[in-house]
Amino acid sequence: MTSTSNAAVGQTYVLLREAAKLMRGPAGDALHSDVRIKIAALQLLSLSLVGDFRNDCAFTPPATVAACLELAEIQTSAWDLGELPDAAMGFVLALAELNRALSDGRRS
Amino acid sequence: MSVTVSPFRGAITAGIASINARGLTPIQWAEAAAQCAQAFHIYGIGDPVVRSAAALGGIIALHSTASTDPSSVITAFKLCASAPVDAEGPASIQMEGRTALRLATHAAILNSRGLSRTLLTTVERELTAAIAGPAPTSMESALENWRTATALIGGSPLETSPHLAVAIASTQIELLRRSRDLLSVVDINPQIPGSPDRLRSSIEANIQAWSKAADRWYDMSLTTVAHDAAHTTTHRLALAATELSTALTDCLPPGRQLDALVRTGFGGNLVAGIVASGRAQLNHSVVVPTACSLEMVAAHFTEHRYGPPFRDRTTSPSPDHPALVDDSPTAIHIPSVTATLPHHDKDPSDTAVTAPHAVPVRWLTRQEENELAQRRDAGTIAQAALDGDPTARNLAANATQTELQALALAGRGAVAQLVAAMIPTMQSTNRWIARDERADALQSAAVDVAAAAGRWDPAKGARWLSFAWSTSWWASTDSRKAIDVRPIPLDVDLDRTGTRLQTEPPGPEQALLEHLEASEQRHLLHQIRALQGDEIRSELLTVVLEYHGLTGEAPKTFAEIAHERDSSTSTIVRRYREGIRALRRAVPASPTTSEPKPWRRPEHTPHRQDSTPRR
Repeated sequence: MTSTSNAAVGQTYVLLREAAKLMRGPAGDALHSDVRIKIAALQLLSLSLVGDFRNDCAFTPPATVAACLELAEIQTSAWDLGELPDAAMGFVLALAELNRALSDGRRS
Repeated sequence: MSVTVSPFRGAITAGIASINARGLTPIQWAEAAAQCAQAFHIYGIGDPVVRSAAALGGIIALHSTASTDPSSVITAFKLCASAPVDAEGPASIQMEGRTALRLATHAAILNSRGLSRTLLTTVERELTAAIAGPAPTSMESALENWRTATALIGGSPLETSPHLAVAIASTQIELLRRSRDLLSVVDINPQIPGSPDRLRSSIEANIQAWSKAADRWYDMSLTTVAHDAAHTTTHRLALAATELSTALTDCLPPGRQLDALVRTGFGGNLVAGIVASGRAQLNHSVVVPTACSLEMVAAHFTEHRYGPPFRDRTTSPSPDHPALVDDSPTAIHIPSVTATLPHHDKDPSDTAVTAPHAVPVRWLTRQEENELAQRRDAGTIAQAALDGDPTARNLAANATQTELQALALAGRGAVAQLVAAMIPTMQSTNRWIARDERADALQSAAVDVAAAAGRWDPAKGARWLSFAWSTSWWASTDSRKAIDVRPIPLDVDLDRTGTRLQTEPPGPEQALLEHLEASEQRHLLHQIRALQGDEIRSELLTVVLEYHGLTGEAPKTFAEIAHERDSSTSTIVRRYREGIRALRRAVPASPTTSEPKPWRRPEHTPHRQDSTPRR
């Protein structure tokens, strides 16, 4: 699907799955409804990008929604953007936009 | 050509006859709905309600053990698809098609019970609302598409994976939470027979059930070895979720939003519950019973006979009913990303159109990119005409001064929008740059992207993003280089720091190295020229040779090569990369001769050793 390895996409998916889990709990109440629905959409988008994903990622996801998203963005920024298909590129941009909005919201 | 205005007339007659006779079985209805959707597709009518009904038919057919007996209704729908139609009446065809399907649905409800009956009742309600009600909003369409995509997953013979189930649950929980919050900020029409408190408690119960199930699916997804969901349907679901998230950020009034959510069964909440639970676990699902209950309670609030069921509250919200948008510091506001493109016919004095803060940042489609390019070109010509350029004046001879000003303004707005669309990419690309240098790099990249927006030509085939992305990347790299080669401050004593600029001619050792490098280049060039056509395509090889100046001429830039070949720079860059890859495969290079790729992230240089003596 993407020129980026399945393991890399899988790790991003794991982070978004974790973010979605956290937002279902009390941590989600602090987030705006629009943010939560965007996280859910990004979780599905990342799932659709995962090719043959195996749950053998040897890392522990962060404990907050914001940290999960930030780490996911850092991972996607390492992808080879020049060769990504449109769907993956859209995902990268949407994730970056959401992260930026979250950062702006925290600053203001 | 014979013209038939109403191809669904036969299906309507058969539907009425079926209601008066034995009705339809659910599986017969599923087949009829599929035929109806097929007919709509052939006539080029995109109807989300009918599409959703057909997808739901897939689930009903999959859960039914009975076989499809022939029915006059199915035959009538099959005939609809082959009937010649009046090309000017798609609206009336759509209306008749919906009516025919509604009658067939009613006939099927007579013969169904349990879950099938609840699903069919939802379909009938939506078809009735679609026939009598106003045109659907973008949010309603997005909710319908989400439901259709979910139903398509359920219609697949594959069992839903826990990964997919937990993702569906996340979205569905958010739709329900939003409905619950909206319920607190609207007034209920007092003539509606339903109880708002019961609706609220049913939503809450369903959220709890979804959360419980989602936690279980999450645990299962941790141990599931592979993501086994069908890729096409998952991708479609992901697109529907993205559309939904965009539609929900539109600034529809709360009453309209809640109305759309309730009318669509909270985005097909029951269907999502059936699909996520899976066929094997359907009888033990905690989601489906609460979703059924919510469906029945919410049915009262779909009634439009007494006017809109939900009205926006005009007074400020009381403490008991907090507003949907939380003003607390922890709440985060997402800016709207769905603003429309600026138009020519706007008043040029309307500065909001092109004000920087009004430029939306979002992913542009190809059509929008082309439209912006056209607007930019028109603006350039208009500005030239305003500046007195004779050629431009001739081109714009019929335009008035005001029109020219408007076009020039729209052109500048188009360029601004092209640049704004690149900002997330530029920020993402510049992440590897040190924090204190990032703003400079971004500014430099933005200046380059603005220049690129002026010379980008969509006719050459490259998308704006591809074209601008490489430009902004190079801009940020150049900026980094500019920082790295900053002139040495004049007050630095070169003798003391041990650094000495080379002003003398190269010594014998350096001359030997240069000679070896030149001979190695000649050898490499000889090897490249000896390559056969099946090892590397000639156009790729030509680009590589011209770029490195190995054709006997001076080295050329990508832009120069693109200009000579009447192609885009990004295409030439792509060919260069392909050429280099092909060369690497064909000509084995020693590790010492391989260069770092220019588009790769540079390795971090080690810190300089501190020469200050330690205490």
